[in-house]
Amino acid sequence: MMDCLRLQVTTRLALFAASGVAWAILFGGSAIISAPALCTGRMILDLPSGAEIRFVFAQIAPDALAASWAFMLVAMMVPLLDGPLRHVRARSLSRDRYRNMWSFVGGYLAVWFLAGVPLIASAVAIRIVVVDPALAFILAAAVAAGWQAAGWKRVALNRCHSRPSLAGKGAAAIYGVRHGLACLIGCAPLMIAALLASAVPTVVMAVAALWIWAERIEPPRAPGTGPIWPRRAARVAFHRVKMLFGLRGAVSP
Amino acid sequence: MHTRENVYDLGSDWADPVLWYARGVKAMKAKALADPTGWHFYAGIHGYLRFLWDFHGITNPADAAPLAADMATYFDQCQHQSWFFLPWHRGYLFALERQIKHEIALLGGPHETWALPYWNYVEAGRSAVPPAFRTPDWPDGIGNNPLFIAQRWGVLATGPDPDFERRVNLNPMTDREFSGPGNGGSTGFGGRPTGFNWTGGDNGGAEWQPHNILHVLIGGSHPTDFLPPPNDTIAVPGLMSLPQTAGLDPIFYLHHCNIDRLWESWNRFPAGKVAINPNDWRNPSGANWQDGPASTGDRAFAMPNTDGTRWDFVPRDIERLADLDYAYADLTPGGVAPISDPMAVRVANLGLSQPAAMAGGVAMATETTVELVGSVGGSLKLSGDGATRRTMRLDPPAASRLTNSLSVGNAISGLPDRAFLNLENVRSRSDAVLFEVHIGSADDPDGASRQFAGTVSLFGTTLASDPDGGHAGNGITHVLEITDVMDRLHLGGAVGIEALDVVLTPVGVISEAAAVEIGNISLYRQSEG
Repeated sequence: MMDCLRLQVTTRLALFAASGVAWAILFGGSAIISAPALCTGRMILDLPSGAEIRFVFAQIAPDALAASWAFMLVAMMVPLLDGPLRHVRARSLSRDRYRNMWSFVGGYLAVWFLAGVPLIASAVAIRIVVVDPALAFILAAAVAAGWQAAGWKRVALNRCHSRPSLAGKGAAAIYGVRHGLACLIGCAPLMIAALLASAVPTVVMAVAALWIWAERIEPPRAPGTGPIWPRRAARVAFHRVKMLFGLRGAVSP
Repeated sequence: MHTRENVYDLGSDWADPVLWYARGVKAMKAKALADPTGWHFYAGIHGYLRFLWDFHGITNPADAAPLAADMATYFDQCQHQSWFFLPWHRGYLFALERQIKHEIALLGGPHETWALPYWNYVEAGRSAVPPAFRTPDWPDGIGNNPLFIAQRWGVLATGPDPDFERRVNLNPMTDREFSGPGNGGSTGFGGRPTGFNWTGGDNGGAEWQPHNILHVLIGGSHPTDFLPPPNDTIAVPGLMSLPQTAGLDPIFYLHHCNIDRLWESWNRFPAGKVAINPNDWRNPSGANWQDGPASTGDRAFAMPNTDGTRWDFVPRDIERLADLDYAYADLTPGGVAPISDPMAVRVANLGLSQPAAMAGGVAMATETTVELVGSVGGSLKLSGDGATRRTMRLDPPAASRLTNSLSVGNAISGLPDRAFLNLENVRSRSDAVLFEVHIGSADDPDGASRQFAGTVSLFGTTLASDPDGGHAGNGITHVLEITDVMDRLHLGGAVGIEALDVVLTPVGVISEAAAVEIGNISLYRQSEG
């Protein structure tokens, strides 16, 4: 097996393993590890309506909230890092490869982890202002749907395809931060909506993760507005079904 | 079965295949832009930039654009920096040739035997654009020759290039893999795996040499005129210099006919050439290539039939010329037959004993490792006409692994390493740019040890340079194989363990406005065995 092919396989396996463990913990919650409910959305839902922010943290331990947010990030976002990580590896000296890959991941997750403060605060604020949990989710989902059509969303998605040269010290970490920012700008409204899911919140998170993956494999496109549909994922699925049933015949010119 | 022949071997400048090509082109040019069987529509299939077409007077602003559905199906399809570069252009040529034959039939000409000629510019003395394409007149002296294009400002437009042999080579023909490991190492003869990729990414071998170089050597840019605002500091590029205008020039198709011939030659010429791995000299067998980009959820490759209906094709439909009913008169890549076993010659030049991996011809599958050896460590801008010199710091352990593999008595049991110079993330506001790259020892201030590493063309770079655009602003990464250069430097004792000099020299003048920027320059080794 070629070195590069092995790299591709092992990188993907590692990322999906990390994500899988995080999903298992999110779905299993306290049945798997000794902790309160680990789904951030569920914690927010448990708040009595009209509560003050001070009361929020009396209800939810900040460390549990931080842990749940971290699990959510690893589960949803880490599988998206396959391409960038292989780029970082390729552009690193062999003795620096793992350090640079960890630097990239650190930069990326740091952005998302810190963004948890305003994102969770936004979800809490919506939950407090909008009394009805279902209405709060619908409102957040509507904002996320609107954001899908925004020009900035498209720019952010394009920038998720950036593969810069990595010259100089700290370049991998800086790339991780920039990649994280692009990812954050593109996905933040969807994450808030996922935090406010009133029914089966972990399943909603999984659907959101699938959507983020599907729109990420769309090729970059010219700036503009309008919804971005995951056409490539749909066509891949359609083609696979056709191949499965042997529907493609020979084509002659 | 019809045969594509060498345009310079037809007997005269206006031999029948050229004359009927001109008549076919004229008939196609007479059709409206929106007609899928017309010349301009075909050019749009490769790439479309209406403001520039109108600026050149090729189309009129009042001309109706094609139907939106037709544009979505057909336009802006050309595949670059992709392993679909060769198969897409083969299908494109096939469709265009079929349309020309159709026009010839309507004119009562020899449509059954006519075939596109190819232009083998690498043959000695044949680098100039063929004469029938350089004159504004038909052979009877009357003007409006449809093969003549005024917007050719490159050196080959008027005659041979005295530096052609240095600037253009067929070195990628010796790359045994269609698609290399990439990641800084070989991209292979045909390019790296991608989905539908209009432009942006890493050049494949055949795309770098000779394809891209020829585009700019023919198209060039106007010496004094500039584009309209807001690009009024950029010299007007020749049609061949830009993917969105190249298909308008009739010489494009003779150039690509030669690229297509080189692909066929790489596959099968000379018969019995030495393979080290089972997949050497073969096209990819996996479904991701064979079934085209639609198999990974992208746009399909689509061409118009002569009746205006749609023909979808995938690489598996067109990889065998016999299936398309044509052949080439000669598969000799350049002017002389290539060496059948370049690796054996290299091993002998280095004074190495024959590695076990080569014994007995086709050998066991080998492990390929790609490793960064060193880099310049930052971006650089290129402008003016003077040389830009940078020192490339090498990582001692990685550099030792490279030089050890080239050394007699080394402990490496496999093949000697190959070396690749990466010009990463090259961005520009102009495609009509060429520059040359030299490498030498950093301990040699006079540059006596400097070796020519290759020529770089920025064909297609503008499209790939917009950070908010359709290609994420990654630019194009040029992967130059410099294995022979490193061998020579090594044999001359000039490969320092700590540093090398890289010198970039513009061909002509690169304007500041072109904003040519190279993200980084790095050296990779690729071990096989």
